[in-house]
Amino acid sequence: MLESFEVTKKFLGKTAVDSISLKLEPGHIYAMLGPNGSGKTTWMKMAAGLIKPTSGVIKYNNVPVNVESRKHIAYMSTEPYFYDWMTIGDVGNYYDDFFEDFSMEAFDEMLVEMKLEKNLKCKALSSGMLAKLKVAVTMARDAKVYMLDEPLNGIDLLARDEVLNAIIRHAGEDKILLVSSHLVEELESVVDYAIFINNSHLVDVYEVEELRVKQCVSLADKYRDIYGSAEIGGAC
Amino acid sequence: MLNLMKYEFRKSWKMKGFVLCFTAFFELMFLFGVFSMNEDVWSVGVFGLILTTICGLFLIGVYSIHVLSKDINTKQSYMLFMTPNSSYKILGSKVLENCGSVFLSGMFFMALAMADIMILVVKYEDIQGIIDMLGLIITGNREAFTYQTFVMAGLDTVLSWVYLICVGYLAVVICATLLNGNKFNGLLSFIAFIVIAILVDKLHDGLFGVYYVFSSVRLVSNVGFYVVLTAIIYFITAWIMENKLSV
Amino acid sequence: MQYDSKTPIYMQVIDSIKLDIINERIRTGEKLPSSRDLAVQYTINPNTAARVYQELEREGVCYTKRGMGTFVTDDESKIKECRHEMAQGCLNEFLKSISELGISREEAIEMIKTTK
Repeated sequence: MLESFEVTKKFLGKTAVDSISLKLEPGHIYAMLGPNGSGKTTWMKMAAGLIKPTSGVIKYNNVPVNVESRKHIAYMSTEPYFYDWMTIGDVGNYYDDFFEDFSMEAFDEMLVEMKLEKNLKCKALSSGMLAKLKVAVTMARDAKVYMLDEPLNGIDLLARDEVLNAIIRHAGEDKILLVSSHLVEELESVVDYAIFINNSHLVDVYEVEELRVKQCVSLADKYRDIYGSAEIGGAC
Repeated sequence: MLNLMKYEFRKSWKMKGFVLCFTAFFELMFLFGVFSMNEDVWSVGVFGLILTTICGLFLIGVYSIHVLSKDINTKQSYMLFMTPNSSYKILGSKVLENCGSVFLSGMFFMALAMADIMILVVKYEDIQGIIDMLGLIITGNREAFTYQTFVMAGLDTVLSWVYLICVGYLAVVICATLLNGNKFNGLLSFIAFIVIAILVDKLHDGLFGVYYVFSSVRLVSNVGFYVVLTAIIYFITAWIMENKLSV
Repeated sequence: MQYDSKTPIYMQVIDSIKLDIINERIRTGEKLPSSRDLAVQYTINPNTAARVYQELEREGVCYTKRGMGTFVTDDESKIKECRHEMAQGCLNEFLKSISELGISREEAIEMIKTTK
């Protein structure tokens, strides 16, 4: 269980995340949605233990996130972060060296599925290939929590399907998946819950199918409703 | 920890290989000069070796500070900080690998220099003048130059350099944490670097006196002084990284 | 598959599977994919996929053999019933739209007959 208790992060007087409380439970895929710059990345980085909250605390299984929790929480940043000298194979070896839960077989399988060659240099990869590599190497870990920051950013339709497939395949009873995006439609069918974030605040958490069953609106409609001004309601 | 050190080496081996190539080149030149009794050639070799030693040690140290800066200020920082390793381990592996490299290459250059001097002594009989010259370059004291004092001077120089590199790490970390977002953070951390270096120099002179005297007591206490300082600087730097660094 | 924005996704997947069964793209008694594979196939949440099978089972279209997986029913009458239900659904939609256009049932029937 990953819980955020009134977490706030300020950068030089600018508030990136403002008092966000959240609870993510195993067995679900969550979407974290909001416009660019709304605070999604900052919250994820705090949960990954890469930056420290100004106030509040994020706990994984009732313990504040720390170096130890990085063993169970896999974080994928939206920007490419591999060393310049690395080939795809080197990236796999690096994860293999540092993460006990990394499986080289799983990584190799995903590379085949995604049509990536191990001897390719990371520097020479297209943005779509790089996005696939990041997902492959992150998902090849058998982690308890996966946090993928904008995994669908700047990739084509086919790569998008491959990434979504990898996400679906790795969901499980004991796993938490959190995927951020500023594109709502892309994720709607894949996630159980959507966390809406706006201007560094938590707007609300919605259950996707419940929205359709009870309010007859899709997630995208809800998004427009909250972030835009359009009034959208449905007759069931 | 070993894995971290492995990747630290991977980041800097090109630079280190470069230094090694230069060394090999000038050493071959020296040997060729000595065995063909061509003084012009081997003196260029000696000059090249001295230059490579100074520049090599300098570059390895400065480059490692540059790597640390890249490792905490660019997106590549995730590579280190997403792994389940504390800042103490991450910085520790850098100190051990890079400072170890400086130390080992320092020792290597010293051993090489001594071997070369021995060769010279065998090949040329009237070599005292040259050794005096080398002694003057290294110690500034014509009479004091022996193999023993040579080792002491070398060890001393290498260790004080190792400690200075760690001060450089501290400055980079201060720049990225406490001064993060400050317009003049680069300049301020450079000033911090200079101030710390000068203060420690004063402390050193206060403890050991301004004049350099070669003795084993002096050697041991000097080594102790720099090792303790390096450890203190390391802990301060790692503590700041662990508690204040956002990547 | 594209999902429309009003109906729950699990219901849209159920309809798609039923259509496959009616058209014999999936035969009676045939084994259906695991819910995880179904999720991948339709790009849906695995919990939604599980719900699809629960509903199909509740309606008697599918049944689960313990440890073997989910199978389509052998009961032909059940499938006929499905077809009827879905046809009725289409008709209701059609009638609703046509009445919104102000066309009477009789006119509509005439139009169906003359439309190629």
